[in-house]
Amino acid sequence: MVQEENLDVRTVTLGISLLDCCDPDIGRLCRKVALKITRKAGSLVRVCDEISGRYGIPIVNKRLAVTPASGLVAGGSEEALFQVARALDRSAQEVGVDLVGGFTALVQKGMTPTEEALIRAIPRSLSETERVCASVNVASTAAGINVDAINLVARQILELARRTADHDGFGAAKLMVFANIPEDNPFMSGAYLGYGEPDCVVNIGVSGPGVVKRAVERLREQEPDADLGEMADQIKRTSFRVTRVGELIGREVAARLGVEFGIVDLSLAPTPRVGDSVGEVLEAMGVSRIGAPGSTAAVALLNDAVKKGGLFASSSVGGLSGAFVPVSEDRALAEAVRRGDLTLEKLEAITSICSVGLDMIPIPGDTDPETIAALIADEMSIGVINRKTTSVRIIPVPGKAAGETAVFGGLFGQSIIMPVRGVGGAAEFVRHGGRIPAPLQSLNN
Amino acid sequence: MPKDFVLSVMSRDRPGIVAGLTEAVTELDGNIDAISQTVLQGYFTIILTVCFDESVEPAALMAAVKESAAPGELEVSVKEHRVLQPEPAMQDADRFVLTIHGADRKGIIRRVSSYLSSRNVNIEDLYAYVHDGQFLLIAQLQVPHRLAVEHLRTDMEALWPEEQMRVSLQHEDVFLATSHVDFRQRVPKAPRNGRPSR
Repeated sequence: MVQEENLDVRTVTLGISLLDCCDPDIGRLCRKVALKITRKAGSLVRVCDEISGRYGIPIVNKRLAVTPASGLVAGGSEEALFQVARALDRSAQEVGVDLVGGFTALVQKGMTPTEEALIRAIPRSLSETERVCASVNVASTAAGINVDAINLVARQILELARRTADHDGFGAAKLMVFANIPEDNPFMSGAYLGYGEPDCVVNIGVSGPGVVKRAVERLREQEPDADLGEMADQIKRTSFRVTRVGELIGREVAARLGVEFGIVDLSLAPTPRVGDSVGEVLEAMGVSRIGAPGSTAAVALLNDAVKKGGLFASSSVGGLSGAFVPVSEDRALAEAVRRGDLTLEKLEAITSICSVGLDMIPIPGDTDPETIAALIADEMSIGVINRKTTSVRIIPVPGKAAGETAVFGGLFGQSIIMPVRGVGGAAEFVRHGGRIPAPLQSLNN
Repeated sequence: MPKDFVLSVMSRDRPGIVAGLTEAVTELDGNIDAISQTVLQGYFTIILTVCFDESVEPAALMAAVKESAAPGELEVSVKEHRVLQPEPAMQDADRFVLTIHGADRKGIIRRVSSYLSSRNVNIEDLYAYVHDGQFLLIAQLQVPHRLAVEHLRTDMEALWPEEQMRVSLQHEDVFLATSHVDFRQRVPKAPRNGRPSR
């Protein structure tokens, strides 16, 4: 039986290694970067449009992910890193992709001067470019948590938000802080091309949550007595189909571009459009107040079922492959926050069993840097101890307080600003700095 | 005299029709190249192509097939078969699976087939039925490459402004990939650094 699911591919992200663009002269480096991106990605958008038209499957976003910029620049200054950001931005505009990720530093154990320069260059780089996305990996299960890096990044987040105050601090929406960052994630803002990846590779983000929501609704209509096991099965089968489509399109794009196919990322990635919400999937599952007790269990079921179906559909699964709960980008989640049902604390709990992390969360603009650092440290701990990826993308909204609305627009949506409880309550703890050591990996209770 | 035929038969269904007519063909020393048969609401229908080493009178073939059943039971048509080249437009086409469902009403198949004909889309296979007032159609289409698939789908949905029909149009590969565990995509693989070339 053919299901009438309006399937789409969320993103086709072309990963391009810029290692062969390294040059001690920053001007030459930027020119090489521009040349390589044009050469590899010049026909990306056109090829995606053709394949999309031929199969009748929309490809919603076309993006780029590149080698960490911190690794390209020898003995780099903030100015040099800023020039790289501008070069990436220009190239992205020229080839017609909407975002380019890879303004990245991997500092989970410590940082080089160039990496520090990149982190300090983030506020200017992201506020003065359009399409560049940045990420900083501050923790890993193997290395522990670099609290010095967290303290530094927290200050950049505030500065970046301040520089984009006329857009509710939107600059901070283009920066993600990670524990255990994946090398092949096709989604922004965390996409970058890891050092272990090929020279050029296509990675895919599969269809949106609407498909899963309709499958759950169909099950409840046709079989009102279905139990949670049957619901998990329905989600799993849907995820199988969704993943198959993603791989089909991805491999076609890769073949047409003459590059390798990398992975399919199974993540359910919402947008603010009605019907395209992870929160609505939870509602369809029977969670009428997202954030209430039961929400974590529901997300756990959903996330696991999506992975099982996807893993059977394809042997090339990677990236984040977890349900996203980005507050401002998800209509039902934003509404639950507005009603007061969904709190920061509950979101943090949910990130322990799924998802990317504390994502697209507007907080009061006057939140102090130690509290932001502490928020990040908490989320990193969840990732590091549980051997999973977690991340933080919080946006301090300059001049606004909890309960007011932050508007980012387009795919980034809008939301009520969430209150942060116990502000400053662990300031002394984070001010110690240093590194929280890597955790034990046995005796897991 | 001709050696290749296309044969079609219609009758009320019962066990043994296929056995009877294939025996008739074999007794004339014929070989069946291709065959498609179905039963629809109690009626048996079949179409097949047959080739013979030696020329055969069409009338003789028709008589042999009719005699394989009770007198007057089978309606038989025999035509000379010429191997057909596909129409030029169809060579540059992709297969799609169309499904339409919604409340039954007169003229659904007429409206959709007329629209498809106007877009030069060929229907290769069609199956439809009504159950409990609900109509379901599944068809295999050949869609010329230059047509925008999403427009086709929305155009077809717009054929029933008065009461909605749900229309789904899936590329054959999408249909197979999502419904067949064993689906394998055939695309050339890019060369990989570090992998010896074959």
